[in-house]
Amino acid sequence: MTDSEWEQLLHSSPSKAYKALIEQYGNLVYAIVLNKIGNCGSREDVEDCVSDIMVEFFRNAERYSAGSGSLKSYISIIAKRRAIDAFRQISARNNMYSDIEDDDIFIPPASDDTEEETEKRVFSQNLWNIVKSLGEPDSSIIVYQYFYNHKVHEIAKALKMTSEAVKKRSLRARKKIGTILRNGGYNE
Amino acid sequence: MEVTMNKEKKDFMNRLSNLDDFSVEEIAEKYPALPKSAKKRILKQCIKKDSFSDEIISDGEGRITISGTERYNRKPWYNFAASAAAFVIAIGGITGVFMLSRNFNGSDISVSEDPPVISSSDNDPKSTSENSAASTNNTPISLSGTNWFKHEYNGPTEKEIEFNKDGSGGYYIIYPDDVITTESTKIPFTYEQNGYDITFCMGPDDTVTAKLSVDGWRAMMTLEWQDGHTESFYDYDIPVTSSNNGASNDGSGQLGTNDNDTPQTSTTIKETPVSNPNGSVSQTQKIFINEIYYVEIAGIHGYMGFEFWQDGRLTKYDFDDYGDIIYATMITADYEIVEDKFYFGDIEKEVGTIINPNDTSSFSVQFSNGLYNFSTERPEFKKLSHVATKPDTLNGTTWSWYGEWDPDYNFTEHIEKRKIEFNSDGVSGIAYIILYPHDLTKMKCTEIPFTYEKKGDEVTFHMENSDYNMLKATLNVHEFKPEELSLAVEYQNGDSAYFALSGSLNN
Repeated sequence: MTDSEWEQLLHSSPSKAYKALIEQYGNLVYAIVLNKIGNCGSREDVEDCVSDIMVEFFRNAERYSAGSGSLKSYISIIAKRRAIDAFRQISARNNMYSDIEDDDIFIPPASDDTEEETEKRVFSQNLWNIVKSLGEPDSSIIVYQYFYNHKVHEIAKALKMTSEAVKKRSLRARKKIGTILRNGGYNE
Repeated sequence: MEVTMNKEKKDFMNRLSNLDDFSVEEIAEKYPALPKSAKKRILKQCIKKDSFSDEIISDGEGRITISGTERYNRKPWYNFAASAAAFVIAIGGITGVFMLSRNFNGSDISVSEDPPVISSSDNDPKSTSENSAASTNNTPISLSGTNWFKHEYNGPTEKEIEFNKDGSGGYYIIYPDDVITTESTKIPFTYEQNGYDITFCMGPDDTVTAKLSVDGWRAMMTLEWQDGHTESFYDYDIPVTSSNNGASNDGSGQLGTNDNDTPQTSTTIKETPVSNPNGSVSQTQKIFINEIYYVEIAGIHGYMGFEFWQDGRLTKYDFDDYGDIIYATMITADYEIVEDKFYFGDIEKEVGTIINPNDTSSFSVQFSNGLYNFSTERPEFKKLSHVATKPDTLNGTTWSWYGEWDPDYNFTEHIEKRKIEFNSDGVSGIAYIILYPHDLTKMKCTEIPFTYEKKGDEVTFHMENSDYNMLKATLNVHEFKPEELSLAVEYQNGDSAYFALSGSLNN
């Protein structure tokens, strides 16, 4: 479905437009959210955030015009902003569980160590390039296991493999990644 | 997610996050991860949050397309009703057509009485493979080129035994928590194989003995160290046949061989059909069936995974229907919980119908090519490793609310979570109520102090100045997870809620 078609659908049948939005961009929004909060939030948190994004987008859908830019870019911007908000909220919530002082909002301070942040980002990017270079099904296994945090049996079912084969391939893949990183990383 | 994730996984996930936009798009496109069920859940949440009109609920053809996908708190009568429904359906002969994701695999290989000696010095992997490929296999597995793993269930792989292809020896490898940045410890060894017995030499004085056997459908190698402790390793690539499946019990386990390193696509063990007109069990057999699908319960059609484990346990489930997802929990406390969530839609092929699923001692499956009878003899059932013991005191314990999404709650205002913390003095505590407003910017926590009195399993609370006055609670062993404790709390307004023990007991 093109952006113009979606825009028309929005006017003719908002419900179908809503469904189409989730169908077409659900995976993208889910991945964006997971990229930000995957290692601190639960699966419910992620889905909650995705639905927040969809609602926000839809509430502001009238402002969207196919002529002003792609729907994908528009929803990606909302998704990133909301995911960062969610990260802060979840971090604050996790802090509250361990140290509840008052009713204030706990927002983690932004990191002052830009250099360290940059290094982490470069490392993640490097790691992702190595994961891609592994080839299938190892790349898929690592992505589903460590980006999406799927369980081994879920991956096994999706990839038509046994759980044991998935575990074994995952270990070998990680060993390979470790070797590549220790030997100087991956530079494409 | 963050609670159950092990350290290694979390470390790796931390590293594989905060990718750039292009990479995230690439992942979303190449590796889509949202199943239909999740999309429906998200849509349902959107509807609630957006106070959407009924238009979206109807698909225009008079059918309700979005309903019942919300999690809900189990009603008291539900267990009984679900069990009764399942029983009636089973007895009534509703023919659930079950699907196996993998073909049965394996061939009969006779057990050698006197396995030959294979030493690391004269090992010839090719000839051994050829022998194994023959219709009658009288040799045990050649260890050359095989890899054996020690797995913690649901945990990371910790150790590996890697045999060189030339038969000269291999490495005993200990993996660190973080395999990415930390080197593994590799201890070289030479070995000698005498049938199913192996002797490792890992140093001038370190001699470790091991024995090959079969654990269900897996090839197992058990190492006995000099200090007496043992470790079991498995090689999943080595097929195990039905004829040797039960052999491990008497120590005469027999293994097939595998010529290459390709993972097996099937881990099931095929049994010879035992045609029996009346469906009764005519002989004791064991089976591992990993996935059987399709179930029909009270008009709800779906696919259901059952696990009949390698030792023949028959697992029985209670059903919680959340629309696209059936949450299944094993009913009988004696059985280990091996699976808790099954999705609709992953159907591969029809395999058979369970004839007598409610019989815990045996069951039959009617396949298209015959009737298969299986035994689930009770002594072989794996018992739970731990069943919670009720403590005498609640001092110092913390309990978290089971409820996640309350369907009656107004999502546009707030989501509520609760926590009960008992102070160590035995008379007082703090109950937290944490509110997550919809806009996620006004999160707050309410602390409500209380005193309490515990008599046996009954706890009486006294709280002041709160709309959430807990009146009393009952300490229970969790109905479906007997390794956990729960507190069933009753409030003054008539509501009730379950709380799970967070962490372990300190007393």
